[in-house]
Amino acid sequence: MLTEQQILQFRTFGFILLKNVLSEDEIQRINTEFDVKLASTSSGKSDGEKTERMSWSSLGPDAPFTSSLLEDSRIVSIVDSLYDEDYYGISCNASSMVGETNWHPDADNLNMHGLKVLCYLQPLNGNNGALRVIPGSHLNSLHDDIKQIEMHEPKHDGLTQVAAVTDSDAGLDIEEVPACACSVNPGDLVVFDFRLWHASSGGSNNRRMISMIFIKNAITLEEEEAVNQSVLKSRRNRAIRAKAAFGKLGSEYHPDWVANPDNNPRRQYWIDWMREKGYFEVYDASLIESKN
Amino acid sequence: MLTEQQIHQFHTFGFIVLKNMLSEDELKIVNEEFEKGYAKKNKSELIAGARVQLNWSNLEPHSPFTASLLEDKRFYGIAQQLWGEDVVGTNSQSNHYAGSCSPWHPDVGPNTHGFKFTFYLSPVDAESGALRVIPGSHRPEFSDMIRKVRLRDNDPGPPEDPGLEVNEVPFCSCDSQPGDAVLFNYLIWHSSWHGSDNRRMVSLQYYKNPKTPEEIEAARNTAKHIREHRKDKLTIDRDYPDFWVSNPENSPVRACFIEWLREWGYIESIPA
Repeated sequence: MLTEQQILQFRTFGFILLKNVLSEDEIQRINTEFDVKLASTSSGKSDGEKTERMSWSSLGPDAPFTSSLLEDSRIVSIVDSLYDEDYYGISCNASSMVGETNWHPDADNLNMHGLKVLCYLQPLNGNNGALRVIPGSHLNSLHDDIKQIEMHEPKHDGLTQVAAVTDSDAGLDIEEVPACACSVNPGDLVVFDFRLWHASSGGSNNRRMISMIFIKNAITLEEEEAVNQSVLKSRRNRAIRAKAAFGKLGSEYHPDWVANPDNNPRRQYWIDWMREKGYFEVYDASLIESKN
Repeated sequence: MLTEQQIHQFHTFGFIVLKNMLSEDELKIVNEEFEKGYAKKNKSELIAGARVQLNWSNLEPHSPFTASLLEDKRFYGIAQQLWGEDVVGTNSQSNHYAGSCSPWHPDVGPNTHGFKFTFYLSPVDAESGALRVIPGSHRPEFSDMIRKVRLRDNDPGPPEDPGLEVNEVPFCSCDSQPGDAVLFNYLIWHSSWHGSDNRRMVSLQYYKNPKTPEEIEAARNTAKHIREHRKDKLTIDRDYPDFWVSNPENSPVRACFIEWLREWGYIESIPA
């Protein structure tokens, strides 16, 4: 559980860094599962020539330990503290990151309440790809004003929503935007609000990250609408990433995970909600092309 | 002068770093004048706790160049861009820090608008005493939230949870080289960490001319506070030297500043 002060820090700054949550042995197990899956992606099959972000779901029998993190008591107790035990754990993804990530929030609608728990598998700092965040940018008025900060032409992967873009000298490079770098060692967790502006810079290829997503149960109509928008965007982004990694679309959720063989009531609560929201449907490939 | 984007960056984040605002020759003069001021300063007049700070006005005969920067178009012009044509230059100060850190704080309370140019006379970065800021924390709603976060140096909690150390608060470091200027809104939360025991900084200070009832009340309160404390050598607020107030070169810019400072009570009115 988080302390009251840690909860306050998260609400104030939009993120919190938690040290040494996972052990060295656990990081090793995650890396072993990561290696196997990465080898099956288009990057893994291309003798290291392909420099594109690879991302895949870890929910299933291929990565049992990584999969279990979504329901791990150390992780869910963090989310319990922040969302009063009323939320849905919807994903546990592994990513082999490449290069920079442009400034963006994961949710632009401030009625969207969700968070990511990140676990990087290598030591990172502000100069080699650590998460950079703008503290407090999950709330207005700061959140919206950042959209007017002009950025140089981004190296864009087609997924993220970015600030204003310019090719003039007045524009800022990623590392020129005032921010805090979340320096981490393997085993540390970064927990951040979907609405927080974040980026990374100077990262090497095959930067390894596990990300878990939790969405707070919507209370108001505005929150419900924000969740619905987020679900649509999320499904599209995941479809794009699946196509990049494996050359085809498919359900992100392995049938074994959805079957919930241990009858975990928490997972079942999540699955019932996700089914209602359409998470388990295969994405229509034509929608990727039409919206690009 | 600032571009529109730089102005937007300043108002969005509450600060901006401008490179190479002073030439090497100018820096040499500023350093020489700093030395003169430091030599004259009574070393027992330390202020601001952990900062171990000595502070003096540059509006004295021994530092004419540093004093003149307050009216220099390069800086006054930027001040006008940020806070309007009637912005007021209120001070040029030198600061010597011997403490290794400065706890988190904004410089003023709500509704007081203005900013400082700060020039660090040695290279500084996050681990050697550069200004650390929380971007965007000049905004009242964000500032109010930060005030509730327990900070070890400001409002320590119980031993089992004393609060955040200065270096544990999320920050952006304003790394700078001599000649660079860090501009920051008085309302932004700032600190420093691991500075040397001979850190030198010169600042130029400007206030927005208050317009709204809230701003006017805040300006009156600030002036009252300064009037009450300016004879106290152990505060950061200094009396205005007669030399500077006499405006011997009849600078029209300074005359405007002095008129405003008299009107608001920062400078005592001359008895009729």
